[in-house]
Amino acid sequence: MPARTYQTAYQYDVIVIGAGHAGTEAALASSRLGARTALLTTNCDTVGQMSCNPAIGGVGKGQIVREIDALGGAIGQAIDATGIQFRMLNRRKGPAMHSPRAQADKKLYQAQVKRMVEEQPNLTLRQEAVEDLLLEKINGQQRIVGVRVRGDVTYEAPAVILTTGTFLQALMHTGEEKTSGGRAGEGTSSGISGALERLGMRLQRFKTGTPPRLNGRTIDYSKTELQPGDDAPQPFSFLNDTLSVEQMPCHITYTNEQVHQLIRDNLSRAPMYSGQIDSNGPRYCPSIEDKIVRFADKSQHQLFLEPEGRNTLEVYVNGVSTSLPRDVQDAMFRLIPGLENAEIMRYGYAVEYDFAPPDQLTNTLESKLAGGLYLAGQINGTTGYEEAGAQGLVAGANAALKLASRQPLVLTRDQSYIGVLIDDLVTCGVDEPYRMFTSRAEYRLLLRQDNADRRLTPLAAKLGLVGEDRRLRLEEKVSAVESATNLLENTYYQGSPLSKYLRRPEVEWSDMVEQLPELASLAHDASTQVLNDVKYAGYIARQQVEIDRQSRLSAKRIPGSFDYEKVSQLRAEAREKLTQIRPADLSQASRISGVTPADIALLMVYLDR
Amino acid sequence: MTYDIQDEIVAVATPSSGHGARAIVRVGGPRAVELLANCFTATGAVELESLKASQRIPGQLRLSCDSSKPLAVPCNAFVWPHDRSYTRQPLVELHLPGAAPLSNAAVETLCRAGGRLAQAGEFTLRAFLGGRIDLTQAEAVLGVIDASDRTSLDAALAQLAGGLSKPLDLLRNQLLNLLAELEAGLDFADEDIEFISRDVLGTALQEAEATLLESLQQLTTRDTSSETPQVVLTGPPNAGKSSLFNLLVERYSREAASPAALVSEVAGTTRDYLSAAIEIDGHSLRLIDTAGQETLRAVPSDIETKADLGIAVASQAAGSTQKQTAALRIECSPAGELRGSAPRREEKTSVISLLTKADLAADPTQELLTCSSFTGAGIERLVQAILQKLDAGEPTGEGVASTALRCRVSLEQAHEAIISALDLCHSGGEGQLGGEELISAELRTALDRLGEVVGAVYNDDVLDRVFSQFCIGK
Repeated sequence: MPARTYQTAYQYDVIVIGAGHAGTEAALASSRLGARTALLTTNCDTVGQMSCNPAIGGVGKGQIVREIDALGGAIGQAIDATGIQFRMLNRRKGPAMHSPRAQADKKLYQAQVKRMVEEQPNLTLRQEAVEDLLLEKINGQQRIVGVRVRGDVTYEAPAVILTTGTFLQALMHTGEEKTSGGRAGEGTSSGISGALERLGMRLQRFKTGTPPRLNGRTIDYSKTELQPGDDAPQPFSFLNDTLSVEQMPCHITYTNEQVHQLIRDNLSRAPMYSGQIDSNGPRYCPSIEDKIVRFADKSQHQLFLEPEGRNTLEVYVNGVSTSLPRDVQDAMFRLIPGLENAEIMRYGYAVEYDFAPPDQLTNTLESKLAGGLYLAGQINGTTGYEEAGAQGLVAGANAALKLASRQPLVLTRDQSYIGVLIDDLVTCGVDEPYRMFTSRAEYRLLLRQDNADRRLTPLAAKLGLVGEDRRLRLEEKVSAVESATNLLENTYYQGSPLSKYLRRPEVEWSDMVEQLPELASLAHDASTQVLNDVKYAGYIARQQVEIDRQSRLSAKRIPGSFDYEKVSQLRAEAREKLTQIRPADLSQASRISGVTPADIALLMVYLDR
Repeated sequence: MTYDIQDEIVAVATPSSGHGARAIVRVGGPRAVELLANCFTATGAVELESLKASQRIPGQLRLSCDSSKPLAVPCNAFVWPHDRSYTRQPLVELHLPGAAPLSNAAVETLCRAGGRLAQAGEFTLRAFLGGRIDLTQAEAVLGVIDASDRTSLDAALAQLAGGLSKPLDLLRNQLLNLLAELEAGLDFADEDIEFISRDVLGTALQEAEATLLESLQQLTTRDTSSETPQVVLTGPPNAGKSSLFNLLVERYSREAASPAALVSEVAGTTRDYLSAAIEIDGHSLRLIDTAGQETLRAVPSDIETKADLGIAVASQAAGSTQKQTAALRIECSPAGELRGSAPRREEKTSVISLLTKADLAADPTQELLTCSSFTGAGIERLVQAILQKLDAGEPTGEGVASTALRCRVSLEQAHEAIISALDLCHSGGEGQLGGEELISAELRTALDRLGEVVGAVYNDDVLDRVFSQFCIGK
């Protein structure tokens, strides 16, 4: 970063608006890369707040957390420090499906993230309400030059990252009652929506919901099932070998026919069904009223009672997201085992908000309309802390890299779930809030939680996103993995290498240790790597063929100024889509819906011209 | 399907319409020579893979096909082991005796050795990318790529597979549902739902395996590679089709005229067509006169609409119940009787627009082919046009034979994937490797291959199915 002199305190390299999961990762990444960064939030007490469920990880999401950590992000360390229950999901499935998840102490988590932000050199955290974006037109091209905050104060910066979550034109619904605001008890921001519209960005609306929270003192846990954490909790961060934590259990109870009848009787009062809300919500996280309408034949639905922390009795009722009126929410719990006397501390609500369809961004998350403007997180139509954090990190890194005239950080689909996420967003857009599923990744067997560090840390080290400690740890692990793999390949058992024997489904790691006692000293994470690599070897080799094919296509870059009009033989649909998305290369172009292999062949010809 | 230029691609380079002296099968790509070495025995001591300069190598191609016994065919291999070939990649041309079944078997052999069938225009695309031809030349061929991309596959499928694409569509749908259930089980670990049991999965996979096997067998018995291309005369009543037919038969007949009865597929309409085998410059054709179309006009005629797509007519010739292709359609319009808009010159490779009765009203301004059966004028040019169209159509367009082969290769690969999935299903226990994520990988391979035959597969399909079938999410 070239040295700069600043006339006033309000000049920065990068400004991040919003200090949620995307904003904090963005600010941490850009400041770690040497950019002087300001993180502006309307409230310093809500930095890193978990607006919805008090949990991190899950299937697909847990892998993303491991990837963010491998790239030097905060989320993995924050949850390791503040988790109250750790579970590895999908243990009964193959290792590519193993997915870490943890319950967080919500308040502690938030404090931990805030602390990490405060400790970061180069980073200013400040309470400000941003009212407008400052844009300038240079040679007909818009670019961002800063923001204006409440009190008519200006912050100047050549890069601005918007991570405003659900706060743009936000409207909360509980039954017939409507309140302006992006989160219970908080306000909304309309100035930024206006600025984006003036810039010419399309905005659309999504809705999402959150369930009621109960007072644990009023729950009869004896009528529920216990769900304990794992005996040997596995940390999220590659910097931690083990976790020593006293875990808290969750509990499970169920809805029943009576509850369903009550909801059916009151459907007309649910904003989603009365027509009060007509924006799309996520199908994978339906409200309880949705579940009952769409799956009428199901006689019960599972509810998870998740503690919100060690120092509170508040309980998050996962599975009953709702915008039904208060009296129905109260009546509903009277009918659920264990919750008959439960007292609601916060009522559930649905929230509608503006998002900017992400096909308006390049694969660095920079706006195609205004240079220097980046968008990350829920404003891009995603849901989830993990998805938000991942985008934040990528946007923050790219903002700083661009200012330093360095190569951008673009992760590929065969390299990470984060690559899948961002490529999906900018190539296909979204028609419901986007959440990661492992089925979205075509190279899922490669993108495992156990090897995220091997996949991403070397790249992060090269960029300067991670420190020496992380790089050395990885080096050590890799050399242990390699020597163990060599040993297995060169030790013969029943006439063939042990590695071949290990490929059989019924053979386990302990069988290897029996043959080669020196393997017993191998660290658990290293032996897991060796085992999984060997077990999946055949499939990975097969996937590699397709990966190579795609990377050859990716090598064919399409210049930003490419004129699709001049490719006269392109079909109208393909031309329109390509002009709108402006893919960076032929591989991305081939993933746009409506673009055929013949269109790609045509582009090959014209690119070669 | 992509146009990856690092793949080894295979195609017949000579028109399959003729029984010419030889047929050329071409293989291009970085490992073209390696691929040849897998199925070719050179006469004398030649190390194929250490060739440095381009060379003609006599030897034998070892055919490996499903149906036939191992068979060695004498042929010449012209090998360009370097980048000085037409495509700037290693290239091999096999010069075989001229018989369509043989060249198709050669293509199949090379595909089994690791090549894949070239897409329409793909050799030309590589020649362009290699700098061998200029854009104008490439554009002409790219037009063909675009046109043949989907429609020709549909058309070819309809004709050779009549009744095959439906069960395959159904199968694809069943496999997608199966995949959705597997994926739901993988992605929604916390749900209290058993998405699919091993038993149900096993049964479903077994059924899929049986369907694929059956389809493959059907496809094999419908191989059309040995058939003679058909040239169909169409046009309005009294356009002079029959006169033209008679004249062509008179001049080019290979045999004593032997009209055969043909049957249309339109229910309740049995019509007779005239057909005759003719031979032009050594190319055998079957000429079909759609006499009786006068009455068919009233009913939407399937022979005509199908001919529009370049599709098949049912033929009972020689007692065969096989379906055949109309490789070429000659659309006759009587000159001087043009009403409304004048017929446009047909750009499609499978159609020739012809003005008949030119002796009555010759119109020199028309750029269409004209002929007169009365004077015999224009017949030579028509005949040359027929040959040209057949030549142009076959090697780049999606011929029925190559589509059959493409389908068979894809279905075989789908079948293999389902077999592997079945093995995994039976061997892997819960929690062991060999679990659902691998079965899912096999299912995806099978779906991709099926998609090449009946249509593309998109990821969102699977998620849509998951969400419509299961109540998921907290």
